Amino acid sequence: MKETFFRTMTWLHTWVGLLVCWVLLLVFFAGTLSYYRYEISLWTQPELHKEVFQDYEKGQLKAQLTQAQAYLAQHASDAKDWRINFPTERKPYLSYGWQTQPEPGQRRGEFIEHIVKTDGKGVITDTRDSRGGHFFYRLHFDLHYMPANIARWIVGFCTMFMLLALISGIVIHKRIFKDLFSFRRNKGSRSWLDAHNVSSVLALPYHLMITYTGLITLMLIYMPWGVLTAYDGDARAFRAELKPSRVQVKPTDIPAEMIQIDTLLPKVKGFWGDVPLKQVVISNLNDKNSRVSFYQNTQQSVTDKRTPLIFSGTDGKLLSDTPVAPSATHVTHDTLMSLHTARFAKPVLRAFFFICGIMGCAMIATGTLLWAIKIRQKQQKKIKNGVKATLGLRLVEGLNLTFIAGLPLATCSFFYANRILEKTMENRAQWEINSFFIALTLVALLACFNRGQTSWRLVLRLSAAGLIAIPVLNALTSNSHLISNINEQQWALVGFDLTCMLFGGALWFASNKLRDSTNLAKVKQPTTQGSQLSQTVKEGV
Amino acid sequence: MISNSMTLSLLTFSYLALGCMALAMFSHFRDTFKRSPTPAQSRGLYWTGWGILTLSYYLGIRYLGFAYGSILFTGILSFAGLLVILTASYQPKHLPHLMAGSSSLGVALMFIG
Repeated sequence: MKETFFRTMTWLHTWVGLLVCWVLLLVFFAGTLSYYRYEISLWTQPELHKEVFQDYEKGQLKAQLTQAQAYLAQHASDAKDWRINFPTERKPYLSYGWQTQPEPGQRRGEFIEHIVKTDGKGVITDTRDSRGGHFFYRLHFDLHYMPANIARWIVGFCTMFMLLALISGIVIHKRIFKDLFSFRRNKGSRSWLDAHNVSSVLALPYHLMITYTGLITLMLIYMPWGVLTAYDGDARAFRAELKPSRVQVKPTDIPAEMIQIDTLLPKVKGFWGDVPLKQVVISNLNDKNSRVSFYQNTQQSVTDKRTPLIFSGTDGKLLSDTPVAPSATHVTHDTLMSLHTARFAKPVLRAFFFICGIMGCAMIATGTLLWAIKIRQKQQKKIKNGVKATLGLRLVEGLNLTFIAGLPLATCSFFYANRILEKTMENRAQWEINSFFIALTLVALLACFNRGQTSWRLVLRLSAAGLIAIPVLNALTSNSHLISNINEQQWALVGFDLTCMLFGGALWFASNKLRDSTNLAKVKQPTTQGSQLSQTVKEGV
Repeated sequence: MISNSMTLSLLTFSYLALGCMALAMFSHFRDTFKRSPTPAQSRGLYWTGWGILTLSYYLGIRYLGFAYGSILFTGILSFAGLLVILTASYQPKHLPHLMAGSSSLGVALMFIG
């Protein structure tokens, strides 16, 4: 009984993992980069790197609001709404934004953002068209080149498989504590198994958390029935009750004079005290039903509390309910969501989340590499006799090369496209994204012909060289560079350059390792300790 | 608000604690000291490890609040574990030195920060 149970679990772990691992790797990789979404976006907008960055200043709020209202009234009087964004730790600049009136048949208009210079007078309007970090954020759950709802189902399916793989992985790993600190290097597939175990077990709390909360973020798509039953099929009513502030009020079309927004500040202070503000949104401009909503910067708080204070835009009366304590269910959901997005994380904790994310990528990559190595070992005799490797093995090896070695290269080419493409190019943002996928496709094409060491080395070296040269690219294509950024303490930009170099160095190291070892696929036979491993593979075939 | 130096000292203490726990294991102890541990040594290292871990977790939640402290501590543990594994596999002989060095750095940081 016990043996069959372990065999079944091993079988489950192998197949559930292998089936979805490449999509998962893409999702994990994009998600990990999304922890630095705003920092990446900042880097991809070199126009903002000079004379723009400022800290949040409580004393400046009143002046900033007055100025913002005047500026927006002048430049965006017929907009759908206005957004005044105050500097935060991760978006260290003041900006005035608005949404244009949607075209007929569209739900949303175009979003325009003008960034205010530190002198308070100049405004930067000609930022390049780029998705920046938001590309990776969307890629994380919407994939690309396909409708979002289909992509979300695919990602959800893969996440469910990931959860299964994690749990079955815990069950079959009999020596979790005995092997907790074991990494036996230069032992062929044994080392790969160790690397797989180390990256899984060490960050296990993170892996379980991120997979589970990942399912929670989109749970209403995957399991809509509870809501549909309780609200008679009206999911919108549920959302309205969950987040009353999200409900958009319709304009009455009766024109009315707007109040000065800065006169509301004392009231906001009365409710929230000195909490820093993040954003002020003004909707239904110059209408009797206009609204002014204040959002606070929730900082380190682990639950979200994204409830705004909403005032009438014509008489300044508070319209939102005075903040009440949310229900336990609401808080739980909020906490799970913000755990997934790490919205609350300060730089150090964010770095730990990032490291854990990288360990997740390593776990997936080592898992599938291990499978390919073991299967190749099994077929070694046949391959020596001139028989071709099976289609499954070739497919897995090809996909491994494409995704494991290809993703860094694709990311690298995204950054290069961001800086090199003509600023006025049509569909510029889309072409940056295309270049990401073109790089991936090129690696895939290479993988069709050669999946051996030379290809791995070539791709790894290319991305290594590209990433190491990122600071040079930055210096050549923007008005600041690594040294000047260090001098001006622009740590987000410094961090970007250094992280790229670090990863470039790591990839270079990996490609050198490849040269040293005879072959990725040529490995020693497993020792007795590897019995669990060989069993994994037996079940896997 | 916790300072970054506090986080760094928590990291060094976790490194020390997990290092002790690694050394409590037969094979790691042998790799490091070239002899087998006595059962008493093993047990001692094991419980010292747990003790330091508990203490640093307590420090973490005391300065950061239960929620943020727990999350940060989990992250610190993962990273410290990775560092211990790398040391134990590539520089086993220097594991004790690094443990001593890092924890003195941690203590120093606590007094400065």
